[in-house]
Amino acid sequence: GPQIYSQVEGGIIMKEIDRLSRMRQTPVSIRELLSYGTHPSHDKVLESAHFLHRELPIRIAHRVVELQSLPFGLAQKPRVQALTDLYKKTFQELYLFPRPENIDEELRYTDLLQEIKERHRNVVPQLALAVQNLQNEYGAENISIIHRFLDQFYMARIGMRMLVGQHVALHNTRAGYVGIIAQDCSPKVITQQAHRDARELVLMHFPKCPEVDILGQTEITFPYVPTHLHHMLFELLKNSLRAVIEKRGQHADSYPPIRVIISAPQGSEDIAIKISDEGGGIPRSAIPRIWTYLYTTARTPPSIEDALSFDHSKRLKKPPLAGYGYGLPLSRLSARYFGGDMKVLSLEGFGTYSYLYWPQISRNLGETLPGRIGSYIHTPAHTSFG
Amino acid sequence: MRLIRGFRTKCSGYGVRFYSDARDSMLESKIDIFSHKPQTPVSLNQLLYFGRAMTPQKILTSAQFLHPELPIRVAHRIREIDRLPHFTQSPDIQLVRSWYAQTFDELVSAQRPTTDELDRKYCEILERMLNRHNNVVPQMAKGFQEFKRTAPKNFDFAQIHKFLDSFYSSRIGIRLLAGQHLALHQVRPDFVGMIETKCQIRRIIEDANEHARGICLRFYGSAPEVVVLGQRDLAIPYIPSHLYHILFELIKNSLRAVVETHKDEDDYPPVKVIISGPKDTGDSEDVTIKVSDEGGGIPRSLVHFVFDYMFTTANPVPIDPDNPYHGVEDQLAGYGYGLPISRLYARYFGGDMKLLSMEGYGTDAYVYLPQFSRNMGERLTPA
Repeated sequence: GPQIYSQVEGGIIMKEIDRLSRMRQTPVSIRELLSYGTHPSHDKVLESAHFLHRELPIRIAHRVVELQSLPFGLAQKPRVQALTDLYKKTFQELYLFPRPENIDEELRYTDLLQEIKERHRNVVPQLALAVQNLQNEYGAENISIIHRFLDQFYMARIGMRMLVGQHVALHNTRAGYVGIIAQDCSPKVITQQAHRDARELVLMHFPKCPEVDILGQTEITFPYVPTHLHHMLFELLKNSLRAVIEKRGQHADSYPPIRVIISAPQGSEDIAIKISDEGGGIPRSAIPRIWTYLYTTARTPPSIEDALSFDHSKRLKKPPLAGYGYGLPLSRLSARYFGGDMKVLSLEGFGTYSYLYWPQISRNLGETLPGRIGSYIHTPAHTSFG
Repeated sequence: MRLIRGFRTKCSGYGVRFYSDARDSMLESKIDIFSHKPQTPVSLNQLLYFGRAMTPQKILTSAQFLHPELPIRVAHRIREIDRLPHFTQSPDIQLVRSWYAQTFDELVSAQRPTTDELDRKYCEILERMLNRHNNVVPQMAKGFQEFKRTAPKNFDFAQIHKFLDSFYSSRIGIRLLAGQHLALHQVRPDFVGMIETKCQIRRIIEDANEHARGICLRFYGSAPEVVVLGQRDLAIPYIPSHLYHILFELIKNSLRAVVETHKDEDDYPPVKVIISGPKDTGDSEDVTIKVSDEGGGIPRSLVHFVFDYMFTTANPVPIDPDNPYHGVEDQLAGYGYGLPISRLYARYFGGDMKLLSMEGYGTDAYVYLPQFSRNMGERLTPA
């Protein structure tokens, strides 16, 4: 890659990365994000920028150190080094950017954030490819510790993208939204959208697609990030639809519907959604594998090189139905990000049951931030910034 | 006998190492030797294969396997009790230890069963052992219930939990081996000892439901229906009493939850039991039984407590081990041991039990039983 900084400058930056990587990351809760309101004042937007200006370099520094301490020689692989350089460059830009003190400066800062967000778009498949190569070299069982690293790394990434996305969205306010958080996010509506999208994909591969029955407290709404919810429901529905079709055969007269049950009674801890299919289930021993990265049920998994070149915005190619095995672990991370969770259990020979949980807003939905990689200790922090 | 004579009067306080001097030092050193010998796990497959077409000679072979094996296992349990933190050693727990010590004494003193006559005598010892140990679970529960009240602040109950899991799991194994040997003496159609070769899961569900429903009706005056779905006619080789124990516990909990949640409504939503087994196309790893209710569920933060020996949703009732119907019969929610012990039964031959809940809606329990064709070896924990 191109030489980004001079040796002297690079040395100072590395020292600062090391210093900031020892500083504590500050978790944010949905409630705090919502406090910026539907029409944030200039002061509020500036306040948000100030928080990011302090917080993002700390978080990025943590990631750089994580990448540099990867075991099995992974840190030295060219692909990982390219990622490390990307994070260092981002750190440098964010770190050197002066604290925005007026609206003009703030706009320039937001432009930088958007640019960075775009630049980091392919981090997931890049890292996946590096790990996949390592897996071929050492065997999947021998590098299971890598999965913990990936969980932490991707969780942190979800968090940073959430904060940046939230700040950017404060500039284009939409009714009913605070940033990218919808105030009345409806699990029913998102389920319908996710089903529509999954169906579109399924119909590229099969002639017919099962229906979805939505039951329980279908009218409930809660503040949440619709894209996160959509991601989780899309993944689970897509898997269920495919399982049912493959179990019954693509020329079956009819399919048993996927059942989605929503439960969120007053005063409960969680909003819970259960997705049940009669798609034949999977063996108990296969359950842990659905949570590992790079596991796929596809007979011929698409190569990650294809994924890198595939542009989701232009549907030129037929996108694969069974992907790279990233869907479920990433969805679970995004559920856990705000203190929720995702569980999958199966009745082999019958069907699969997935459970999604998110804490009610009245409880503090603080981000779950992974600690520094060296310790491998995952401590959810639920304190607030003020 | 000398070990338990006068026990109750002698042991009247905590913190004392009971019987430290009264213990028979010969016996204690034998226990020590046996607790260092490895236990030999047995698989359901082996039991089934061995028990087919019994001959008098095979009965003796079975007895001769148990003769060294049982005292080893019992000695491991005694050592486990001894390794508990001293302040948990209540009279109740020492009483249990004395039962094990006496059983060990009898087992280790028994003559190697080389003839029919000696086997008969050996069987008498086994029967006495099974009776003596009937109340181990409530007696232990009583001990730990009291300990829980008086436990030091910040006490880490995880070690007690681990102890109880291992202890009760081993108890299941000892009782199975002894029970199997006794049962091999009577030939019953479709049974190999205690194992039913074609155990119909639906029949066990119906039996468990009949019992649970009776209790529910006595308690509340009404009870929801239980519907059985999936592979309704599936029959597998299994030990019916184990399966019954698991299903009774789950159905009982579901009935109670449904009645308590829907008591003001005309109809109860049924409890659904789905049986899933080998696919038409071939083998499957497990037979899975899912018991789901719409009984309002429990919050996510409480789910892990259902397998906690120290936790119960019902008001804790003083446990009376002398009443054989304590807990389960008197109270729909027993003393909180039902689910953890049911899970041990499921895990015993490599299966499992999982429980997930949707707060405000209901609870789903999953019971996994590995297919017989897989080798379901006992899970043994060393002392």
